[in-house]
Amino acid sequence: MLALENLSMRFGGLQALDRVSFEVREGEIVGLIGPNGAGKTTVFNLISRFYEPTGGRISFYGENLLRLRPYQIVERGIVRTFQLLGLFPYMTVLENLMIGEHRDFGGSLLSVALGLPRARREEHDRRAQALWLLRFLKMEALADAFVFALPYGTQKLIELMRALLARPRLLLLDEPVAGMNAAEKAAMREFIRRINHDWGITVLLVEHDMSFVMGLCDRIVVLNYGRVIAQGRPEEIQQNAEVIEAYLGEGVGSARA
Amino acid sequence: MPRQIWLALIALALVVLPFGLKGYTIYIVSLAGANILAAVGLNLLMGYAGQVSIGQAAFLAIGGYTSALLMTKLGLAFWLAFPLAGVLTGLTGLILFIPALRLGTIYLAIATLGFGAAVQQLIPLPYWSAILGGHQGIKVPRPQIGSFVFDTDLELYYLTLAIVGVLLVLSWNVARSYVGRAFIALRDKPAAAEALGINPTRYKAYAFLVSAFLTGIAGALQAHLVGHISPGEFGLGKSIEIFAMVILGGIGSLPGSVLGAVFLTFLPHWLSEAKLLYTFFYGAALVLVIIFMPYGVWGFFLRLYYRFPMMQKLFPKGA
Amino acid sequence: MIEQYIVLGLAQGSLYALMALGMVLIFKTTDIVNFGQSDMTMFSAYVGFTLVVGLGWPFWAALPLVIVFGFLLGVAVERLALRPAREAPVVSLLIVTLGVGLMLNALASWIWGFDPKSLPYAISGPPVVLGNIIITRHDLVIFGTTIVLSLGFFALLKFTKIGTAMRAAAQNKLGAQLLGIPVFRINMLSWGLGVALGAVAGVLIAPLVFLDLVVMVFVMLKGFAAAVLGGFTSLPGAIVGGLLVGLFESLLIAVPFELINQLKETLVFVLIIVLLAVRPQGLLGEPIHRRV
Repeated sequence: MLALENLSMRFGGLQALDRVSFEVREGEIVGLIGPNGAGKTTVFNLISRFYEPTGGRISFYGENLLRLRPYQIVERGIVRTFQLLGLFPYMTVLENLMIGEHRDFGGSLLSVALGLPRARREEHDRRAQALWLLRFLKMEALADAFVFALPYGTQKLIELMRALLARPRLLLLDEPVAGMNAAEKAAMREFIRRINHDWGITVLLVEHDMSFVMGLCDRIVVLNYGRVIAQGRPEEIQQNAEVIEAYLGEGVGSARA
Repeated sequence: MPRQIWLALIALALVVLPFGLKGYTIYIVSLAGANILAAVGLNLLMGYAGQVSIGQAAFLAIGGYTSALLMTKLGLAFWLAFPLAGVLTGLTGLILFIPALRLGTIYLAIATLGFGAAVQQLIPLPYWSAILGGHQGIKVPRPQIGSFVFDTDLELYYLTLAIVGVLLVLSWNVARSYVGRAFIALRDKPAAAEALGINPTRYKAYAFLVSAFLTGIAGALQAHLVGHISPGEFGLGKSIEIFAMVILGGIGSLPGSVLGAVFLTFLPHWLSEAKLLYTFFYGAALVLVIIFMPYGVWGFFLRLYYRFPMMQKLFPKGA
Repeated sequence: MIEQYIVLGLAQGSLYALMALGMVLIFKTTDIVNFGQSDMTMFSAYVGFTLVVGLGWPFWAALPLVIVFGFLLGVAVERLALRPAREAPVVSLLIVTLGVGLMLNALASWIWGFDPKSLPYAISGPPVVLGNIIITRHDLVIFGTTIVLSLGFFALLKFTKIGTAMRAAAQNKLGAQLLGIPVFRINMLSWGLGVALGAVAGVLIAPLVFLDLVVMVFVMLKGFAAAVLGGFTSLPGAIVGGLLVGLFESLLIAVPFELINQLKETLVFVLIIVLLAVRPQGLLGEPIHRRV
């Protein structure tokens, strides 16, 4: 479904990505891992079109993504979350969620201003949908809470919920469990599994927590210094000598998951 | 008490307001109404969409002159010329939208400053003073619907009340809609907003369009209230005055803009006794309000709200 | 003939440069654009007027005193108006600077009245002639003062402990505080220096135009435009910008077209805007990066 071919990115003197190629197939959960600075977030930023690559192609169901501007990616069904939280702090949870539904609002500026029935109905329906999702996760009490006041783990979850409301086919999660405790991570892992299994959403995630990644992903892609050094199933990756060396340096046994 | 009752009370108060006041005071209130629209227009641009503009006086001028000229030169009726002036001013707002796409905040502020200065300098030029009246300006006809002319302070007040009321409702609708949310999203985290499908170009255009429209209407309204328009009124001072109204009321708060506009419209008149020291106290008022109410009058009100449970009983949530 | 206009333009430009330098300094360290700069400059220039015309002091003696006054004024403004308001968002602080400006304006009209004053030139005497260029002694003072102040200023920033502390505070306020740098004092210092620079510009330009309550507004606006031109975050840019604005303005006067003359101010702005369209960060400013 998503194919990166020989993707390269150069920032001045730094080659952040060097001919990175891998695929994400429909229905998979793929993990993108690698030491700090390996280029993982750069990959996301390229897919989201915030950067222009210096070489290579990105295609989604055959369509060349490089022609698109960042705001057009959502229409194709690709939605991402951000490493440093992309929630809007001075809005309520519900308002944040409803921004996730932005692509489904079609009323013109005029109809909104005049309060025409179509605009009002849209607002009402989208609101109901966002509330439904909150209820589904038993979080409806938070609807009117301001985001900045909530605990970090909750904020991350809300950002994921917002992404879901944008109706993704492919979800890009940038460090979904960073800074969470074990219980929160387990809950998130379950949630992602459900999204993938019950709702058929493909997931590509970047993470540092090894056990989380190994326990969740169908396939893993390992980056180091901007290059793909290994791809495969979790068991294969754990045995891969180059991967172990990248993370731990020389002379260590198999990576402990 | 639920929100509807509060609104009804306020509406009622506004309707009976003039009956205790002198004609001149009613006139000032009407002028405050025009300033309210200008402040709301700027607030939607700054507080919601996060675009700075210190050249709004230019749009006041464009709106005022357009409405006057559509009536006097093209013979259009008021009820046609007036909204049309707003629409045309809205379109000129798109002129500022182009630099807004590329420039950071400070630079955009300068560009709008330049725009305001340019418009003010271009109006009195001799090439078109036959139409625009040069430095003297031109007379602006009174508003008229059918054969009824709005001539007295009282009549003008109710007309202003109607126009401002309607436009406030429309602005509120926009602010609370997906468009308003898109504005705020673009302001706070443009990357996240784009990643959710918000097209920055389109929404910035909307912001400038709506803002210029409201400001144009404000300018036209003021022109019709005063009966005269001249380029001298639309200098940097006026732009900054509107800017101050938004800041004092609280950026991002529409009710705050209303309060800020009313306060700054009346302040000069309260101080007019003090003649020389008037400017001094005006400046001091600005400084003190910001020191003691850093988030504007509305922010101050919200703080009281959260601190005193009594307030929460009077104004239940959802208001 | 054109050389004459160039020299005049550079002289004017030097004053815009000083003004711009002051405003950029304040902006870099405190993130505030000083909209009251024109009134603070005006007030300082009036003080200079009192010293020179009222008390009969020679210009060269009055100038340092005006600088000191400007410095103290800047410090006072920061301490009394801006620090108490520091909780407010930055745009609100712009209004505070404006309010202070208005207060100074009112005070000035109360102390000195509304009629324009004239100041004598810094040095009287015949102008210097170089080839077919005539340079007045006053212009020489302008050039000299600008060069000395700019160099001294940059030396301060680069080579002294205080200067380094100022640069640190400008780049990363929190980091500087964590290192024990007294950011509050740095702010006062920056404001003092920023207003002092404006004061110099004001008292040097006053003899060339009539000194009244509003004349400094145009100087400030052009200083503002100069700062933008140079990139509002760049100190050397402020100087370059000032000189360019002065040059451009002077060359516009040379154009024998009445309309262009009248629209001088507008055209300077148009120039700035066009330049920003091509290079949004100004000539020497830092490019605006998008952080994701």
